[in-house]
Amino acid sequence: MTFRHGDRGVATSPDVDFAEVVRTQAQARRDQQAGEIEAELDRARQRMSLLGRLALGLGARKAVSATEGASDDR
Amino acid sequence: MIAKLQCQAELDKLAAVIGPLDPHWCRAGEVSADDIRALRYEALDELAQVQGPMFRRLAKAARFLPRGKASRLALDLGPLLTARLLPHLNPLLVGRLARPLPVEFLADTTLQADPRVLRTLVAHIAPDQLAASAAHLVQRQCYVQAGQLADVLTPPAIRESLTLIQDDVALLRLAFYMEQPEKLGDIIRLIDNDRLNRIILAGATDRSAWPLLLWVMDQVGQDLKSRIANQVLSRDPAVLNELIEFADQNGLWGPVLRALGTLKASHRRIVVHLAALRNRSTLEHLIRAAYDEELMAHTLPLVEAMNADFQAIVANTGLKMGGSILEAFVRTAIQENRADLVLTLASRLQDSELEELATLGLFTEGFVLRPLIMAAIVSGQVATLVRFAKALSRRGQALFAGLLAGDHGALLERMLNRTDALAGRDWRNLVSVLGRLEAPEQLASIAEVVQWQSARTYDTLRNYAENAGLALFRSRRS
Repeated sequence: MTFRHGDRGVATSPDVDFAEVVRTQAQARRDQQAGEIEAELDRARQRMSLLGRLALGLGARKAVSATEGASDDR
Repeated sequence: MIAKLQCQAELDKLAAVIGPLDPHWCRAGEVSADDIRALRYEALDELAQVQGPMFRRLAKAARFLPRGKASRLALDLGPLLTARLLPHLNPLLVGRLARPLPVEFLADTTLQADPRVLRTLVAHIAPDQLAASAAHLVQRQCYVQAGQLADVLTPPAIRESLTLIQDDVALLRLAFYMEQPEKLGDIIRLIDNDRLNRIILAGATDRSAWPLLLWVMDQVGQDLKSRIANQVLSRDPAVLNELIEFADQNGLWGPVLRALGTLKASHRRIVVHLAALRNRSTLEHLIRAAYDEELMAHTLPLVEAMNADFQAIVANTGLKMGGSILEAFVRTAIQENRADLVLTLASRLQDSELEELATLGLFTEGFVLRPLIMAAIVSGQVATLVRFAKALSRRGQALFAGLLAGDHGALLERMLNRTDALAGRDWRNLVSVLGRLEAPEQLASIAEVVQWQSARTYDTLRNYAENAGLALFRSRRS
């Protein structure tokens, strides 16, 4: 799965792996989205009702314990 | 070549997930659509992992909220967080939560969500909300995201969407991004004739939509393909002329060839005489594409519809393109029971060109020569057949004569019944080819056949044989 890099699809430089390029860009997008999610969560907390904040807090708290290996998903 | 369009659709979908790709990559053509799709799924899986446990827990908590509160929670979370919650929610619950949500919110969530997840949820969302969201996305030119869901919409949602989306070219764009293009035919069958005609004409008159139109034409069955092709042509042949030029410039002959094969005979005549096909290099590209994409059978009706001058150009062009292409054409014509077209094209060649054609290896094969003889008899092209036989190699001529003599000269007898238009040169050529026979039983067979011919045919053959010094028909006429 190799795309050639160059004008009009003609090879002008060594082959570069297309999958590698996509995965790198996907990783950057993932990092960017992680930041966006954090920001959205902050905004959501501010506009949420008590019940909403409770649900969100429950999710966040459980998530923390889940990442700490509590495996309370089950 | 349609693979190029499939790759383009996949690259656009990938860009919708990870952001715009370097244009250099978008031009390349060495990655398959399947490979690009696999990378997109990988990227979507990566995105789904961001805070995955938190969203899973949040979804569990949301399950216990009253419906109104849960919908409110979605609004408070915003489209991005809601989109990330969707994989963890029961589809039925999603349908209920979505009901009070505004269209703009649903559209924004669609833009952020994993399309694979959305496709499992669509059936649970009200058709009017789906249609309104789709219309909203089209208005914002988010064709990729809306198109990816088009093939899972229910018939009511499709009908509602068609009412709300009045931009006909946009509908072609949505079709381009469908995940399962093979379902396009089912969707088109839900569109009334007037609207479908409008969509086709909108695509035909908007140059930017031509790849989409070609794509759509290539995805649907024969009946719809025929309808679209005939519709474009009957509206304005000049458009088709430009469309052919466009397909030629963009390596999209596959869809065009497949569509041309479905044209009505009267339309086919118009097509083959379009100016675009008069260009020799265009013609070469068409023939090359037909060969590369194994679409040679689609060229047969086109050859048949051409006038003699154009057939001569095609025959000459094919000859210049080399043996493998010519052999593919001949084999295909024979498989399709159209050996007569081989003779028709051969009749347009000069003697030297005919000799070049006759050097092809497959003309020393009985499975090729026999159908040619049969086709000549049936279509009345005996003069061309004899001229062609004379151009064959010695081995080819011997086989040809043997086929005529076989089965007690059955084929020779049938052929001699169609020799009214033979000129002196043709008789001389026929006798010369028959002179390749050596086996006594073959010679006896043809002598037997000849002696029962009309006096004119008998005398003509005998005279030419004697003049050539051949003792072919020694037996006395009874």
